Amino acid sequence: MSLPTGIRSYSYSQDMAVFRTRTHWVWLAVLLAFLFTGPLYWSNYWLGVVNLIGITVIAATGLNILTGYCGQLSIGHAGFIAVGAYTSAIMTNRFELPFLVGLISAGGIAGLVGMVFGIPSLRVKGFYLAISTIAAQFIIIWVINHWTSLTGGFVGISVPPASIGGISLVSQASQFYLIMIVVIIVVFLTNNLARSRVGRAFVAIRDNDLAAQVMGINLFRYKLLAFFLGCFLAGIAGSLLAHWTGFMNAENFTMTDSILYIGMIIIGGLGTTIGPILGVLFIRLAQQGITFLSPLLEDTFAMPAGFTTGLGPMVFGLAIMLFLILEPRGLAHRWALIRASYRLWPF
Amino acid sequence: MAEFGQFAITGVTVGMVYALIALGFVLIWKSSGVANLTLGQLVLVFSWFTYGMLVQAGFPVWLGMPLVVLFAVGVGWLVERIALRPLIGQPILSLITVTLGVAFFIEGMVSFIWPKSVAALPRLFPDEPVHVGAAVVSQEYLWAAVISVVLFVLLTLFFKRHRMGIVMRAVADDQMAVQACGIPVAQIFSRSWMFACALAAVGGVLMSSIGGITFGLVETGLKAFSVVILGGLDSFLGAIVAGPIIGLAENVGGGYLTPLTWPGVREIIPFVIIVIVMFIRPHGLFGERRIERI
Amino acid sequence: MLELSNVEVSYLGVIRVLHGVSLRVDDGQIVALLGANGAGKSTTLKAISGLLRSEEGEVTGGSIEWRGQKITNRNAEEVGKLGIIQALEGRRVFEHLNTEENLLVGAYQRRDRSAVRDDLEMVYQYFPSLKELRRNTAGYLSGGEQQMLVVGRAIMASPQLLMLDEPSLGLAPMMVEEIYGIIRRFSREHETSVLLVEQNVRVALGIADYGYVMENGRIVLDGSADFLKHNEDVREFYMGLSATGTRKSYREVKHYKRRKRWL
Repeated sequence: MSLPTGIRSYSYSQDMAVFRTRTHWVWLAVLLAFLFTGPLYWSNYWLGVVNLIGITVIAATGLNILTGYCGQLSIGHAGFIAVGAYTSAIMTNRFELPFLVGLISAGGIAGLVGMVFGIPSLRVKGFYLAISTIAAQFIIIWVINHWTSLTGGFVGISVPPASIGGISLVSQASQFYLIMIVVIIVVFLTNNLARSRVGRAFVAIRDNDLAAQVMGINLFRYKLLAFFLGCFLAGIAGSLLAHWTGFMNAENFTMTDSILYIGMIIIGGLGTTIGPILGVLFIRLAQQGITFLSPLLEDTFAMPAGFTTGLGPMVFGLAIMLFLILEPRGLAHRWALIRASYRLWPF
Repeated sequence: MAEFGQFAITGVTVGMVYALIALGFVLIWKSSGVANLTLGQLVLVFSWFTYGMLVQAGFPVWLGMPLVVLFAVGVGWLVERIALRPLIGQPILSLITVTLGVAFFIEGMVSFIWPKSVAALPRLFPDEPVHVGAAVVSQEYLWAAVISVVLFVLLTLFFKRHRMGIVMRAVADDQMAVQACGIPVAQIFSRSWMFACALAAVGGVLMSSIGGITFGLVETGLKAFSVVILGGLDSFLGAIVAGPIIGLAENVGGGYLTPLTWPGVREIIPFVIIVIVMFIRPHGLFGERRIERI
Repeated sequence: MLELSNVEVSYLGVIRVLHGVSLRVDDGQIVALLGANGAGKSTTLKAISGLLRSEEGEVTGGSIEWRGQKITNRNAEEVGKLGIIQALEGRRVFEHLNTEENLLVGAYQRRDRSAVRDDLEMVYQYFPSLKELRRNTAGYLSGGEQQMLVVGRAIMASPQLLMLDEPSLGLAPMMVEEIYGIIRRFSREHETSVLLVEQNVRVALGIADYGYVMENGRIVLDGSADFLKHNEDVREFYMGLSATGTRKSYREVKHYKRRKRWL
């Protein structure tokens, strides 16, 4: 963590603190105040967008643990999100269990499924692992589509709104508070995880797994742990998504989405806390821009009929390529540069 | 028994087409160590381009098909030049994800240019079915198999005899030593992408002449992954052996398992095979174990 | 004629490994570049052949000229086209190709097929044992055969300047003598210049016309092969011989701290 010059720490706890200066705290307070008063002046539509962004941040943070920190590429993240979403939906709809049980078990079961598909990572890596996660994506979605008695199959399943302690969270605003609280907890915990012993083990495995093993890191344990944590967060995000939309089928979780998640963490910056947030903002806001702009463009310039559907993937594909080639460290790196220049201003 | 024969013949012939597409993957993997995850989207875009040439532009087959292959070669050159070359020497994660970006872009381009979701190619092969024993096979399948085998033989000869093929294999062994001989390695990469795309184009045309052009063609590309995983990433022989195995498993397994399980079980079989191979023999049937040193 | 003047090389823009190297290889001459591990010999060769780039290195100063043409920081293909061919250190054959295919890779850039076929026969004449192994997988050849193959592959490119990086590494003395004999014969018969990097000073000076000694990225001594062979310091520090020509004994500990004169 970069610090303003001339700040000294006099104890270890001071040295380890995430927010160290008064300025940090002031910014944090301003940000949180802005965020939590949001429902007062955001329209319902934009609140919905923010909710989706929040949910996506949770999922992308999970993928970032797995891919960004631990270096295990997963092209099946949407599948794991689907596991969480359906677990929660089935728990609350079919078994009428409380929402919180659904939320936690969604994370747990998605994590376990992730671990099963993560087992090959002990013997293979790189492309092999990517393929096995693609297989996971297809197998999961196929099971969801065909296990009709449980999941509703192609038709889909309706999900009751989330409720905590008898209060049913139906409106966008009430959902907003639920989602934001989970986002803040998740971001805070992953930020600390990354600086812990476990986080360092992940980074060691990413940079060179053989060397990490020689140093005494138990690859089996840590790789599976990374899969569990990454997919746990995917499950949590899935559960929130399910209760937020109220109805879903497997079309919400395609391989295209999985690729989009990878795009998000690459654009944001792999292996940083802020990266997934920035990446999600970039992609989700770009999506909004495209849904807003493309009908306009289509009308004014008489574009062909496929323009609207085709524009999104083209823009995102291009963004992924350009970021990999020109800014492999992502928006997080830009952000760090901006902060540094702010700190050093006027020099 | 007749039923089995039917499943088996369909399986083997379709498997040969998978193998053909998989050969393109192995080619790129062998010569540059890049995993090409764009395969499915390439198959899709080349099929649509064939549609554009033969149906929309109304070219005859003898003119349209060479144009398709030419287009494919051009796309291969472009992809290597724009997306892959700036990343030479980057970690494998970047190399894989950049092909995902390309895949995304191509997908968008396809729905941009051909907003229809389904189309059929004109008949490329005669209509009459052929009787093999008790089984009946439509001629498309047989032609597909024959073309795949011929291309496989040509490719094998190319890699054994032609100096460019030999150099491609040499690049796979030791890039730097090839460079030291004064050979432009980047040019070799570019060539292997062109070849692979041409193969994807032929495979795409064969697949779509059998099943029509749908978005499902992307999954054909993915099935080619299960072929390379089973056969071993760096083995042409592996691809050509594993292709029919996957096709067989898909059709015979699908044929007999559907009554026992859910319908549509055949779609998932290649992916289940991937997972099984990963657990038992990750380097595939004919792949080399990689020796890694710290 | 190859001429390096004051060449400086840095890796990653910060680690400077060559600090102004100047040397000259006249046409048809065999020049040996001698020195211990890490002296910068291989880096010098890579600076000439343009292979530095793939290792994030760069020539940051000085110039490299080949027959009056500047080739500083050219890439490997362009340098290769001029007939400057490097054989890498460590017997890097293409393991999965057979012997003949390995040789043909060397000739990839040449268009004249009949000349390539003639050269193939020529290489087989120089290295008769390779002819018997022409269909064998190169990865399974013995070390000496692999080294012959690497030299043969470089010859197949019909070089004007052949740069060999430690052809004696890890080989039995007899094998070393044989390979060196062939290198000399080839150089004499085709008037090819050879720039030879070697730690085995005795054999290198056995065939070289001229030699340079490198230490820590600098040339510290140069002279004709005869001069170097009789130089006291070269004899002591690189050939393990004491002033009287007998093998050095470690019992005479006082010699241990003798300073090299060029320092």
